[in-house]
Amino acid sequence: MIKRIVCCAFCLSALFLLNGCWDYRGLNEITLVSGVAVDKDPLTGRYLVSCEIIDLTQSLQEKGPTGKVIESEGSTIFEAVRNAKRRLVNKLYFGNAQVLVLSEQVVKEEDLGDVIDWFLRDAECRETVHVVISQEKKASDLFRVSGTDQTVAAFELNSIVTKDPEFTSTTSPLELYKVFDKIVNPGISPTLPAFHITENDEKEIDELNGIAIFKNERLQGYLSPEDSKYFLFITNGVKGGILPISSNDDGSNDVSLEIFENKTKPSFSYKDGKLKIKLKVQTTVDVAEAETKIASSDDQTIKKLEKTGSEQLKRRMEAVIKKVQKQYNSDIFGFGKLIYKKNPKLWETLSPDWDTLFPNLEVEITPEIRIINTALKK
Amino acid sequence: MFGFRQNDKNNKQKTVDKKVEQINGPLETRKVSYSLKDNVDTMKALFLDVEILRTRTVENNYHNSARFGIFYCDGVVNSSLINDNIIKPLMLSSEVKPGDGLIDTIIEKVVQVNDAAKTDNFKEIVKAVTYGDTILFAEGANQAVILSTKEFALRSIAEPDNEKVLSGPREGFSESLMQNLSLVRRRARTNDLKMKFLDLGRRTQTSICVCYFDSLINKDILDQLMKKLKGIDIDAILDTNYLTELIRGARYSPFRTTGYTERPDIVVGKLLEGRIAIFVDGTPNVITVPYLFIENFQSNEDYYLSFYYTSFSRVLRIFGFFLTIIIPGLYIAIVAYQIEMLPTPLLINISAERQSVPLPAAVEAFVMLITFDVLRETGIRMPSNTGQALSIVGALVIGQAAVTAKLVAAPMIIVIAVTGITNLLVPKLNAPVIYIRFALLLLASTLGLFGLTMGLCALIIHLLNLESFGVPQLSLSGNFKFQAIKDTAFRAPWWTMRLRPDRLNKNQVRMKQKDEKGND
Repeated sequence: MIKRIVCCAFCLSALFLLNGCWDYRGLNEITLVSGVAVDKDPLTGRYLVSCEIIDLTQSLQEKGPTGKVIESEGSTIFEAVRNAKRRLVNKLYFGNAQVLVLSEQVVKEEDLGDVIDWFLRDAECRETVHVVISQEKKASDLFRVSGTDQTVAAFELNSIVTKDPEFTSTTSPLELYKVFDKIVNPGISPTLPAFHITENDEKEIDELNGIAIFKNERLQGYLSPEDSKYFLFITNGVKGGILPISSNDDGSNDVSLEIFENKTKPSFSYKDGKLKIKLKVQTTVDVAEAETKIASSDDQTIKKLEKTGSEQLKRRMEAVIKKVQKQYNSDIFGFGKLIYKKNPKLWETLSPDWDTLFPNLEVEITPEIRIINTALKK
Repeated sequence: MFGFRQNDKNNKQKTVDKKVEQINGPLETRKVSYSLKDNVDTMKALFLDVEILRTRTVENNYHNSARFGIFYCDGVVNSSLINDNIIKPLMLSSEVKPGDGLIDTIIEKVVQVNDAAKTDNFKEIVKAVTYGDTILFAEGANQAVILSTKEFALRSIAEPDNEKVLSGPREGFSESLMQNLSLVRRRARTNDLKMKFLDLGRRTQTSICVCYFDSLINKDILDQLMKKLKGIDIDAILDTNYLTELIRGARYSPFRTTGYTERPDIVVGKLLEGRIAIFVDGTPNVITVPYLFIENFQSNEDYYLSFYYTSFSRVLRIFGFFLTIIIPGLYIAIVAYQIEMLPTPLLINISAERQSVPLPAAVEAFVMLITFDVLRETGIRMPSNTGQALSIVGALVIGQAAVTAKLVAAPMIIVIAVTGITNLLVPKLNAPVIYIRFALLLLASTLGLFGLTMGLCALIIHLLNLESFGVPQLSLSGNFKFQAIKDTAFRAPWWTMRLRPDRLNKNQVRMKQKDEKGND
């Protein structure tokens, strides 16, 4: 019996050695980080990391959680993060951080992959953190503005980004691991949601402002929220939102189509050394608003509306593609990836010249808008 | 030290044995003599200082030489029965003639008592007279008559407090063995229901009744049980739990391996599933064996109410068992080790609560759990008219005040409350639950979720190892046929419960396949 007990005790004590990553952490020994902003001092070249932390000194019952910003400097990002401890009682805990904000300057001067490297490697940081670009002077400026619903700016940024495709379709949210994925994958360049500060009700507020375009891991420029929508149409990223069209095709939008479902099927053809990308866009919408008198119940009118809508959608998509091709020459649409996936051998021959091929790439768009509902009015 | 004690114990036992022998020895050998005077003297010597014993000498009116000695214990007999049916006929009957066959004549023609038996053994006489029987000695007869004149003050049949039901029979057992058996007998009017008696306890000579349906039980289990019961050598049996601990296997396991109940309907239900019931005189508790683990979650009401309703509450009880053992450990593991698992808003709330609390979460959990157990135990032991003080102390001081004074974090109070409430869902698992809960909490606070999982694995291994009279208590052998699981996590409707539990008996068919109309 005693032998057995001793045996069991030995076995149990071995459990302590078998533990991998573990530690007893009291919740009062950690400081919760809700978001991280990374800047670079242009003079010294040192990183400035600003963490938004949850302020638990105030009562949660009155206001809910509020954020505070802790800044720290270091020659590398991790050093800067650790230096924050010199200003804090507790260790920073990144397990619940929800956004990583990068300033324009950082991603212009440094490769995107290098900046996010520590966040990918660190055990605490989640790979599902959303990465966004700040168009303001300092990345942490976004944290200093109080939001409308939530008092923690990082949480607000996160919910704005994640819910955007469903309701407005003006940006493509990208989690940390997907950013890495796009960096290492051939034939595609990453895009990240961009934020700026704007005025609302005489106060400053964060606003989602289209997408930031990267090339070779460096920031190149932006697409406006309007253009971003058509970028999403091209990349099959639309999940909802509004498609405004002009019923008589005079350029002034007067009908709002609410998007129920959108599917963009890309394909390509390669004939006689000529590459052609084909996009088949199928969109199911309903007429949510018509600022002009249209007989919604009339089949003819609906057909006509579908046709003009499709044409306008095609034109706008083509414009966005043109803009990206000429202005940024960055394959953010992933056309290269499409070829690589379908025909790797072809991609091997094309990829060295992709930078010269892409700007002149021919894209054929066949949109098909289907109106299934005209709401109440008859 | 330990060895010495053991020795000491053995010595003590020996002296006790000797004394018992001194008392019992002469009785066993002593026989009833022909002389009435001798017998009376023997009785008086035996019951020296037992002043409850009453003696009466009676002489027949027709034959003066026909003299009788009557002995009974006061308080346990029906006096009018002795007066009218024993003394009166003995005095007035002309049938009484001294000589051979006197005892037989008395039993057959004179005394008017339903149960009369001859004996010449003083041991039996002592046993009978202390249990309310009247002993009749006759001059010139070397045998005595034991006449049943028992009458005690008994508690009336009432619903047991700890096994109340909303609907269904409300009778409960009392302290009288015969009354208890009558409650069972009345529910199963067949000669297939066997009742075997034996006396246990050297001092108490407690009547034990083993009760079973002959055609339904597994005979091996019965043999095993009888062997164990007969092997018991104990001073006294005051409650069924004495037997439970003496006959059970896996003696150190906190889990039950025998069932207990105070309700006749439950006993009959268990008997009908092929189990054996053991009644003990002097206690309303009845043991049923073998015991399956699922019985911890079964209630008699499950069979009296709609199967939809009872299936739901069965699942709740099983869920409650897991909750009550896991919750404190899980909370500590997540809060102290696997913080990542908490959704952000919840993490913020909990950590805000924890900011100014002095103790680490694990210690806090231990303290609060013990506090809860103290409250619970007090609630049970306390006289009912002071109950209000406890609820005030419990609710206000422990709950609200501790949180306001920042001694304990509010989420911990919720954890303890849920643990406590779910504990009440499975009263039959009270004992193991306390220990398992603390063990899991300890594992969780040293090894996190990993430790908790290890602990649960150990628990399941232990449960799978448990046997009750050779029947595995819990079987995960993959028998997922409907008839095997019909009465487990859910209670199937009665018309589908065609077979008895297959682990208990061979005679499994409970219901024929077709009814009168020929429906399936």
